[in-house]
Amino acid sequence: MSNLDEAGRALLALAGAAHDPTDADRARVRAALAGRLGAAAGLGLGTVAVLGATAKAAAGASGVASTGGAGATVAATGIGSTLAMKLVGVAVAITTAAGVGAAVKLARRSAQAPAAAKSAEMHGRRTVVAAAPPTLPAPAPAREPEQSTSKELSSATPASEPTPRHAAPSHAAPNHPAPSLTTPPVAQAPSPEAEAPAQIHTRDVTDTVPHRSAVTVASASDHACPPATYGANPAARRSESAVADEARLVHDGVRARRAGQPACALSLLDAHARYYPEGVLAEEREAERALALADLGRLPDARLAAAAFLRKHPASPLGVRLRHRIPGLQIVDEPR
Amino acid sequence: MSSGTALAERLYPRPTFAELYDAHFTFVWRSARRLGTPESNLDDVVQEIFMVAFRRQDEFEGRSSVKTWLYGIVFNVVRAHRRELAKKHPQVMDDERRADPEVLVDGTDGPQEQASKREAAQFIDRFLDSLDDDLRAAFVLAELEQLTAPEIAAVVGLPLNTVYSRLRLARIAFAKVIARHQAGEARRTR
Repeated sequence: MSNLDEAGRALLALAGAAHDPTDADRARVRAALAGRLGAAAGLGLGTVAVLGATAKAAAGASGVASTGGAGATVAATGIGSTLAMKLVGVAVAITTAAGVGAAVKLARRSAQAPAAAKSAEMHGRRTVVAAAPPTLPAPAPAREPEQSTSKELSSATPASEPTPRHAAPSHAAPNHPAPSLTTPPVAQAPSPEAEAPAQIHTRDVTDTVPHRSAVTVASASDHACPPATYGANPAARRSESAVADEARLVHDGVRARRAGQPACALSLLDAHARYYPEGVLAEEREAERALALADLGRLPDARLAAAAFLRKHPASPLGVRLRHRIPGLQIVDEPR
Repeated sequence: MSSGTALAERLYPRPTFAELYDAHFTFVWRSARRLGTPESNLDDVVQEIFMVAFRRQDEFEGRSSVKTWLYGIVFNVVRAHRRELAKKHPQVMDDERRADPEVLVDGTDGPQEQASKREAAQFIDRFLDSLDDDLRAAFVLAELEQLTAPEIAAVVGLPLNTVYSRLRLARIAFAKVIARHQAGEARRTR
């Protein structure tokens, strides 16, 4: 049906998958839809899928990327599963804190040594996230009991992977993801101990995250709002655990906001601003802060914060969320 | 007929909405972008598309294919979005309209041979932005999404001949852009 010449055809083939969504895109929209449509849509497993995707994005963000699609496998060597949980906990914390979009951004920032991975290295331990085998996972089970948002982080049902990105087969171009536009860097497993004994599926680990009392990285309870327990030790702030501390603060702030406690969220985020004004997660903090202000009904403040954020981080993927979520923020993206 | 339908139902049970989402999210997202949804609005537009699909899911019974049906929704939602955008923020559309595919690749390697996929994608994006919405839709659906002309006619709700003529115009425009680019290449390498 087509009669383009060779050059045009080659160009179209090259451009192929450039606009394919990431797993994070898929999970984010899914969660939003589940929220809008409720149980009727049967998208309940979306919340679980979000966690799965979050963990995967986190793996990407920590510089030990997983290729999209199948679940990444975390292999902890020598130390056993606790460390694996801890590291995934940190990664998830960072990712959740940062929002999925930011995880993508972090993944893009592959040039900078990823902080979470670095902190793991400084402990003299290694974590390897092996790329998932190229075989695609079984399609996600279609129906799961609907889970409310508040249960989002405490669900213990097995996580379902979102179906593979390339499920829809319909375009001419080869389905290779375009380089670095949206996909996290391809997994590398530099560790000589790659054949680790303990293999834990990320999603299993993710399931343990809600019960974080058992995990060293997390100490704050879900509903307490004690900024004083964070970053209290200046030495810790300069040490390799500073990233974990940061992640905890921002992550707990995000959770508080999502749990309908924007005031608590704000105090946690402000604590982060005090302790880590230029922290790794400063950008995410500022975006979350604007959202928390909006949730508090302090719209003028929220707009100011969001506008400041957009000025400072014009290219941030988090800006999209601010534009969506904060009414009256009349800023239109420049066309590319 | 009815027993045939029952058999079909049994063999190919109607997908749940979650299955529909999982199976078609990628092309919905991609097409919404290619049909001209600005990146910053993509989340909203894709959500809207699935909201409409959810409301109308009974419609695709007996239709040619779920995919064509969904393309129709994508097309309509994106078109409505772009119209609204043009009304509210005309400058965005004006800038887009002035897009010149040449500008982007000028001074870089040729998109055909050396350039990365990314550059090729940007080249295509620029080209699409330079088309009007009707030609853009025809070109995207035919050349990027590989729909047949009758399928496109069903999606956009127009006579087949109109689709053919739009497609022809879009391809001519594309050929011109490629030719111009190749000429530029030749000048540079001489």
